[in-house]
Amino acid sequence: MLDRELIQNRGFRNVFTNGKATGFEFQLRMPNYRGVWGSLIDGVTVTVGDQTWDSEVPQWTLQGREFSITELRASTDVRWQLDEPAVITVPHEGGLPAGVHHVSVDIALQAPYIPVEFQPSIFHSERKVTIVS
Amino acid sequence: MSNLKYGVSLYSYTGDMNTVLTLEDAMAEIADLGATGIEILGEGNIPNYPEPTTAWIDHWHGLLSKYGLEATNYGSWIDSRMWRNRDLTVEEGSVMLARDLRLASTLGFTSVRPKIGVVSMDLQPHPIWEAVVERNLDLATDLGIIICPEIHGPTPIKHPVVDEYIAFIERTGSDNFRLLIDTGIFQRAATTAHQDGLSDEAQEEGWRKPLGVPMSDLVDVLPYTAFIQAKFFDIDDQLVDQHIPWDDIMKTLVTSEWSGYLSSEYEGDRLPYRSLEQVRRQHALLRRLEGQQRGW
Repeated sequence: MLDRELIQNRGFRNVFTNGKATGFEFQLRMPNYRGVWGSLIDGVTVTVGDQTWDSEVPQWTLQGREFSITELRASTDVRWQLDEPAVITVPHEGGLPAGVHHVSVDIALQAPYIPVEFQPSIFHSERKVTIVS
Repeated sequence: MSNLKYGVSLYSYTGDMNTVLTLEDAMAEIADLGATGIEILGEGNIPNYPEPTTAWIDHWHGLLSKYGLEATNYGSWIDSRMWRNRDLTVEEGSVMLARDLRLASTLGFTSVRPKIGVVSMDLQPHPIWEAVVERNLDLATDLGIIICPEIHGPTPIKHPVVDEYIAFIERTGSDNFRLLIDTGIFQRAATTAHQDGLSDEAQEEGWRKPLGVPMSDLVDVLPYTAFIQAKFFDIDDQLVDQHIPWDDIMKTLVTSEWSGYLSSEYEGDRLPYRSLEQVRRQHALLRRLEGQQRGW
């Protein structure tokens, strides 16, 4: 089972390249009532404390494959399913300190069956999550 | 006598699915209502859609059998704005619909509702719809599936969109294309239910505003109607629904001798477990009203 919150408690951690923290990642549950093809994902804006990363910045890992948002918008064969959280990776030199962080997200999805004037749909969520070490 | 059957769409349990409910939990809930039908969203409820594993397909059929449920309607999408630089072609849309028809058939469904991208504020479907459906009519016939687009607010029944669908039925003479009515179009009072992802402005346009379609319009299209999604937002402790006129709807269905499924679509606030409680209330209300109409 996944957390009811969109931001999952499990999976919040720093990511390392050659032993150095180069960013952090966390998992997001699909906010919509259906899963969607990757091209309908329009990005996620991420805020941790007083720092914000624009929706063009985070990398997406879906179904084991990593995409920039530009790649995802042009994709044809990957999905964000209701039962498979996305891994969001945010580049951030040095990573985040271990401890509790207030994380908030605005997830943008395109729904072609809703008039384009009202698109994209924006799903906001925030919660406190912890980097263990 | 006509025969009304009761079911539940897993759409009702949005937010609860995969967080507090497994598919089996949901089926146990539906069976406990005395309902016989389960409606799903292909892209929502099928793990690894559009290619579920054989093991999952077996699991699905096993659960239908265990809980005495039949697969009713399968919701699909034809996302006409799939990419930013161009619209979906007829060929691409046809392939998508064919894929969903086959998958729906594998899972035992008897109707498929394609939700087609729109090109206007009053939900005119993208013009590819007609060719996409027409190319799939023979396949639908072979599989024994009815393709039924959804008549959903803010589009009423007396509207060019519905006229086009009915003209298509009459032109093709096909038994495999019919209407699906979402009871949200009969809404008579505004709802405060919040729809995640939508601005206040969009919600005002699409959901909160009561459309109040009259029952006489429903009577006119019932001969073309294959399935009813029993959309609702809130039913109180006295089994009163302030928004949807169930008494009038039930009277119309019974008087018109319509047969088919009423499939719950709870669309109220998404608090954990609230959908489960609300769907039970709706089934209690609908059974009571049917009993009153038929003098049971």
